[in-house]
Amino acid sequence: MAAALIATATAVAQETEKRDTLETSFVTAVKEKMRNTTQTGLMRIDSEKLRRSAAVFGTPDIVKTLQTLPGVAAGNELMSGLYVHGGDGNDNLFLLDGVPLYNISHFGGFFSSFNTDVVQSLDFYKSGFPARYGGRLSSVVDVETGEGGFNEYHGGVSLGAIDGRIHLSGPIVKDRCSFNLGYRRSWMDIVTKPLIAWANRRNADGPDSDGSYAMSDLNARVTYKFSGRSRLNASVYWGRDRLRASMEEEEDGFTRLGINTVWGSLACSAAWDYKVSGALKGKLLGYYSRSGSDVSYDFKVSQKVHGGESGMGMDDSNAGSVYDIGLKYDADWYPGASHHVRFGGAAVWHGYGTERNYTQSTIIPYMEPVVSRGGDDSSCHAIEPSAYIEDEIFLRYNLTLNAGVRLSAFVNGSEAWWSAEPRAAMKWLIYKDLCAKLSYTRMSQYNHLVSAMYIDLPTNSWMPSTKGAGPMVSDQVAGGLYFTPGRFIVNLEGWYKTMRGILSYNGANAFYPPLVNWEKSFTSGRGESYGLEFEGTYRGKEIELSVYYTLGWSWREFQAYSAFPFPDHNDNRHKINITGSWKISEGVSLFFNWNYHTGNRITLPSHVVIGPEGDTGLVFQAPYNASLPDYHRLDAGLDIEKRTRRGNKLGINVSVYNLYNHLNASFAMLVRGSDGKYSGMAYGLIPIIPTFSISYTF
Amino acid sequence: MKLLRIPALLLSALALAACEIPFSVENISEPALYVQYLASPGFGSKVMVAYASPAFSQEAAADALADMSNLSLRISLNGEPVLIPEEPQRTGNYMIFGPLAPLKAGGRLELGASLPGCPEVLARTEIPSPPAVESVTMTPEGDEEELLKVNVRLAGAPLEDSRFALRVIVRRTDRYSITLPDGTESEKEFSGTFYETPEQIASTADLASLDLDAFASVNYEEGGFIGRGGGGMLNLLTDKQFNGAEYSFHINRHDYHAGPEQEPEAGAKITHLGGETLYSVVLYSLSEEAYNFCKAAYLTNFNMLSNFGVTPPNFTYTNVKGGLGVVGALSGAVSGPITAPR
Repeated sequence: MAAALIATATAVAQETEKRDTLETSFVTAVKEKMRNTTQTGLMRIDSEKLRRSAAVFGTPDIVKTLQTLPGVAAGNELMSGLYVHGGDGNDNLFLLDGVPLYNISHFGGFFSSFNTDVVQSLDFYKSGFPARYGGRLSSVVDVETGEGGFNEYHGGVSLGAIDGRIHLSGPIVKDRCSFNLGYRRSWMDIVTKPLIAWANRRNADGPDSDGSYAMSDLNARVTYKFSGRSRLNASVYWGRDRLRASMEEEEDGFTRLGINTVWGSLACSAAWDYKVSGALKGKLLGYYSRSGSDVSYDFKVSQKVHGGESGMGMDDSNAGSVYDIGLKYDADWYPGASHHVRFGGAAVWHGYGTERNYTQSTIIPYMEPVVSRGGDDSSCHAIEPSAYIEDEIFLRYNLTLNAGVRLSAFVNGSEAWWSAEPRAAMKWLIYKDLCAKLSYTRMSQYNHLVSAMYIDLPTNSWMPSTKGAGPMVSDQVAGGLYFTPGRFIVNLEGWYKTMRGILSYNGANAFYPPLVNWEKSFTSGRGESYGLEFEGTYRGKEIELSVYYTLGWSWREFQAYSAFPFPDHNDNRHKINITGSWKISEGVSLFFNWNYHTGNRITLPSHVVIGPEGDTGLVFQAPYNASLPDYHRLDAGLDIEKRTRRGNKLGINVSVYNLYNHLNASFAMLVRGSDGKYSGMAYGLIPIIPTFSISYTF
Repeated sequence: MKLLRIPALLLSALALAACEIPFSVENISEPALYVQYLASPGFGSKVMVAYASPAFSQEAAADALADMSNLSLRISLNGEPVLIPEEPQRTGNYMIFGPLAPLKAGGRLELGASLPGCPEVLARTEIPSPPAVESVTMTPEGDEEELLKVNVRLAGAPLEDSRFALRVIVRRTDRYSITLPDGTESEKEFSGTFYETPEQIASTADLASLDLDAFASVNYEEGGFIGRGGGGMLNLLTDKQFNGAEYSFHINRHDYHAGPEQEPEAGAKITHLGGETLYSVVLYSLSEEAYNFCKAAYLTNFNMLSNFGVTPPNFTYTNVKGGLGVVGALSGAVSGPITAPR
C-alpha cells in the first residue's frame, strides 16, 4: 500500500509543480485566539508548530508537543503520558475529527497515533472546558485533520529513522470534492529480520531467536461540498501495532517462549455540516470507534527423562476491545449581536469485550499431558446519552460570559448514573492588550482504564462504571491574566482542581489486570491539584521563543495506601520548558526545546527498625516520599529545505534528542553501602539519540 | 507467580542496560515510632512500639540501639484508659507490651505514644463486631469426592466496603498401632494443626480471573502481630468477593497426617489404624486500618515494579499520625469443628 501511495504521490508531483501554500494557510493567529476566547486553559496549536517540535526519532509527535506545555506532566521518559493538572493520564479526551479515540499511542506509548502530516490544528483544553465537551476529567485534545485542497494537489514523502510517511491531498472533483490521505509505517522489522537470522546462524549452538515490531496507521478524509452551506466529511483512522518475539532451544529437551501481540484502533465517521441560515448552522456526526488488542504468549520447557519427555507448558491469550457507536448533533446559533448559543446532544453505545483464556499442561513421560484450561469473559455494554447548551454572552463591550451546562447519563445493565455539569467562564478585557479570565467547570468520566501500570500496554482494557467503581468527577476553578503587547504573549494562569472517585490498581503487580470483578483490585480515592502557569512568548519574523513555567502541587488520598494525603506520582514542583526556533535563512531553520522538571516521585523505605537479633527491617511511612533527581534535557533540530526546479521542496531534518546526553533517572531503589549507609540509586536509560529524516513535499 | 516472570525478565534486562545515578535522599524522614497493634476481642492482644531511625541517617547505618526507657504508651477504649502491663519485653528497638486484657467489640480504640526525640504518635480505630455467620457447609464435589465446596453464609449481605479475613484450620488426628521389636504392642494417637493455603481458599472465580490479588494473605497469630512468624495464613476478603450473603470456595481434601515426632525405634512396625479430619472456619471482620495494613504487608512482596515508577506503591499503609505502622482491630467468628462429609 505504501509503495502504491508513493508512486501516486510522485506522479502527481510531477504533474502539478505547484508551490506549497499548505503550511501558511494553516497558521492561525494564536495570539488572537488566546485573547478572544473566553475559556481559560486553552492552547491552539497549528500544523506548523507541530511539525517543528518534538521530533523524536525524526517524527513529529502531538502528545510529546503537548507534554512541553505548562500544567502538563509527561510521566515516564519517552512515553506518551499526559498528566494534566494533576490528572491520572487516563482522563484525557482525545477527539480526532470529533470521534473519541481510546488508544492514542503506538509501541507502548513511544509514539502517538496522530500523523502530523494530516493534522490541521488542535485545541487543547486544560481548564474552562466548554459544555460541548465531556466524558473525561482532565483535558480535551480536539484534533482536526485538514480537508485537502479543492483545486490543487499537495503531498509529500518522508523517511525517518524508524518510519516512513506519505501524504497526499487534493481534489477528487474540482471545487466540489477533496481528499486528504496520510500513511505511516515503521520499517524496523525489515532491518531486524535479516539481522536476527544472521545472529542465529552465527550462534548455531545457542537458542534460535526471532522477533519483530511494526506499526502503521492510515488517515483518510474525503470532503464533499453540496453547496456553500452544506458539506459532508467522511473520515477514517486505522492504526495497528504488531509485536512478535520467540526463543527456542533444543538441548537435552526443549524450551520455548513466544509472545505475539497485535493492537490498534479504527475510527470511522461521517459528518454533515449544514448552514440553515446566517444565524444557525449545525453538524450531524455519526461514528464508530474501536480500540482493541490481542495478546498471547506461550511457554514450554521439557527435558528427556528415561527416553520420555517431562516438563510443563502454558498458553495464554488475552483479547480486549472497546468500541463506541455514536450519533452527535452540534448547533451554533446567533440569536442576536450579544449571544452565541451552542447546543446539541449525543447518544453513544459503548461495547466492552474482554476475553482471556489459558491452558496449562504438565508433560509426564509416556502419558498424555495433564491439561487444565481456564479463562473468563467480561463483555458488556453501556449507553451514554448527553445534551448540552452554552451561551457566549457579550455582557458589555469588554465583558464576556460563557455559561452552560452539560447533562449526561450512563446506563450499564441495572446500574445507572447521571450528572449535571455546570460550566462557566468569564473574560474581562481590561484594556486592548490585557484581559482577565475566570472559569469553573465540572467534568464526569464514566469509563475506566483497567490497567495495572502507568504505561500504555496492549493488555490495558477500558471498562464501564459499575456498582463497585462508579463515575469519577472533577471540579476545577481557573483564572488568569493574559497580556499580548505587540509580538509578545505573556500569560499567568492559576488553577485549583479536585477529583473524586478516581481509581488506582491495588492488586499484586502484573501485566494482566483482572477482568472478572476487576473493581475488587482497584481502590477509590481523591485527588487535589493546584498551581500557577506562566507563558512568555515572542513571535518575531525569524525568531520565535517561548518560555513556560509551572509551579504545581498534586496530591492523592487513597485510604488503602495511607490514612493521610500523599504526593502524586507526577508531583513535579517546578517545570520549565524553553522552546525556540530561528529561521537562519530561507530554507534553513534551527529549533530547540529544553525541558526541566523536578524529578518524579518515588517510594523509598523511610525508616529502619532494629530487630531482636540486630536484624534490620525497612518500613515505609508514605507513598511517593522522595523525588528522583531533577530531570533536564535539550532537544535540537535543524531543518534544511531546498526548492526544486519544479517548485517542490526537498527537506532534510536532523534532530537530536537529549543533545548533551544527560541520563535522566528512569527508576530508583535503595542500596546499602559497605559502610552500612543506605542511599538512593537511580538508573538512567535514555542517552543522546540523533535522528535523521528526509522529505519531499509538493 | 507465573505472571511475574515476563515483567521480571524485561525489567532485569532494563536494569542491566541502565546507568547508575547516585542521588541524595537525606531528608525524607525524621526519627519516629513504629506501632503495631491489632486488637482482637476475646484475646489478650499485644502492642508493639519500636523506635524507627531515618533510613538514610548515620544512626541507621550503625544499626544503633535507641534509649527507649522513657517510652510512654497509653490506650483508651471509648475514652476509658486500658490497663497496660508495666514491664514490656524489649527485643532490639522493639518494645512489646501485653497481652492486654481482652477488649469488647464495638468500641472506639485510641493509642498514643511518645518517646523523647520522636514526634508523638496518635492512631484510632473501631473494633468491629464479629461477622454474623449463619452457617458454614461443606459439600463433596467431583468424581473422587476429593474436592470440598465450602459455603460461608452470613445472616445478610455484607455492607459496602466491609472487610474480612478468612482462615481454615485443619485439625488432624491419626491413630497408629506400634509393635516394637520385642513384640510389645501399643496404640498411639497423634494430632496436628494445619492451615489451608491461600490458593485453597481463593474462590473458583478468583482463580479463573488469574488475579493474584485473590491470594492476598498474611501470617497472623491470634492477638499478635503480622509478618513476624507464628500463627497461620489469613486470607483477605472484601464485600466485593461475596455473592450476596455467601462466599464459596473449594479446598482439596488433603491427606493430612499427624505422625510421631520422633523416628520410631529401629525394627518397630507401625500400622495406621485410621484418622479424623476436623475443619474450623474462622471469618474475621477487619477494621479498615487492619485490612489496609495487612494488604500492604502482602503487597510488599510485589513492589519490584514500583521502583520502576510504573505501578502504584500500594505497600505503604499507615494510620499512625506522626509515626508509622498500624492500630487496627479484627473480630473473628469461629464455625466448627466440622467433619467433612463423604
